[in-house]
Amino acid sequence: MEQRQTIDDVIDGLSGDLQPVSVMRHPLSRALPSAMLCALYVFVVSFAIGFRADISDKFDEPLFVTEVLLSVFIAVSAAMASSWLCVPDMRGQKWLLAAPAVLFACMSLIYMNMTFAQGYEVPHLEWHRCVYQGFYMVGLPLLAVLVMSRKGRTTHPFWMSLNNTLSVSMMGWVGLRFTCAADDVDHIFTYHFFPFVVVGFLLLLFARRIYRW
Amino acid sequence: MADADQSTQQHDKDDWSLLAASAQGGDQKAYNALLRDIVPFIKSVLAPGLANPDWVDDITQDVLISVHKSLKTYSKDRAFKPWLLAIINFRRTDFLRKHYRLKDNQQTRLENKDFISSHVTKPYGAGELKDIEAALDGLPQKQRELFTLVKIQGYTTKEVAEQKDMSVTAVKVSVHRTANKLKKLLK
Repeated sequence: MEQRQTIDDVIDGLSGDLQPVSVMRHPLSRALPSAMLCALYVFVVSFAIGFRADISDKFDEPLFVTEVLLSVFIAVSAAMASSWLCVPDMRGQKWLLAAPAVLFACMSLIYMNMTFAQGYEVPHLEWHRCVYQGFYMVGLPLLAVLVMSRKGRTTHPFWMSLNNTLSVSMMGWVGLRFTCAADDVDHIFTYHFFPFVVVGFLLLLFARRIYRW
Repeated sequence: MADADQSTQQHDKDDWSLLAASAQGGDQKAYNALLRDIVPFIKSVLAPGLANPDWVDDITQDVLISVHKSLKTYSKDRAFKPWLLAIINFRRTDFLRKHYRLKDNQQTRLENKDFISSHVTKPYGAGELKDIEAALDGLPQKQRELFTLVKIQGYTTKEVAEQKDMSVTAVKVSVHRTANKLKKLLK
């Protein structure tokens, strides 16, 4: 009886505190503008850093174009997934979680193939300029995405962290491919990919705290 | 009968969606009615999977607060129940995770009813375990020891044979006989 009264008290308290709420916009209308803004930001930073000298030649290479397109698709699909994740039941669109994962698996296959073809040797480790440039490209968008995601109410904090990291870091990845002339797997994995993995790992580690509500 | 059930469910769905939409507009009366309406549903979802009935009330309160916090994410174009169920499942998992994290190093005997009722997810299964424990206690010490080492603690018969200075065959035979004896006792 005592518990029942407590639930009644909670209900009375909550309904007494109720103020009109502004309903969250449709996830698509939240995801696409933020993805476009992120792309614009990365483009501006890349422009400020300076594009690689052979960029026009690179666009004649099918592998490079495939890689860039895949990265953009991963970024957009991950942004969409995180936007839907802001709603507790994802509005029934759970399949969206699979899209970036499958695309990322495709991209990993391409890179595994490149690694087998070229071989991988850990380069001399240093704070390479690509690491700094990568963080310039993803730092601000990642912060913005985290703030935006916290406005939602996710029931899948790990997926949210993963998709937020993927959406921003894939844009950063494209930016680095546009600015850095190195195409060898050693350099790409160590200085373009690994720093984002570390960021993603940290976000996953603190996912429950970041998205607690 | 099925039609009647379907119509009731549809009615509930529409009612809750309408009430939630009104609540989003600031209608406190509709919101109060919605929260009161969903409490039995929340409890009916939670009750079958929880050991302690007090937890149902605790989690129900968490769910109500979460509904309040996430009201802006509900879309009136969509059904209310899946949205609510996602919150219920999330809060239940969250509650159990916190609860078991605090208690995961604690051990006790099955006789400790208070502990069992608040830490075992299916306490009604505890009776069977208790019977097994009682049956084991009724066995001669040597048999019980060998059986526990092999079948419960997971040592190999070879390891047990070396430890007890017995032949592997003797250990196997003893464990087999004990298992048969237990089966008979528990029938």
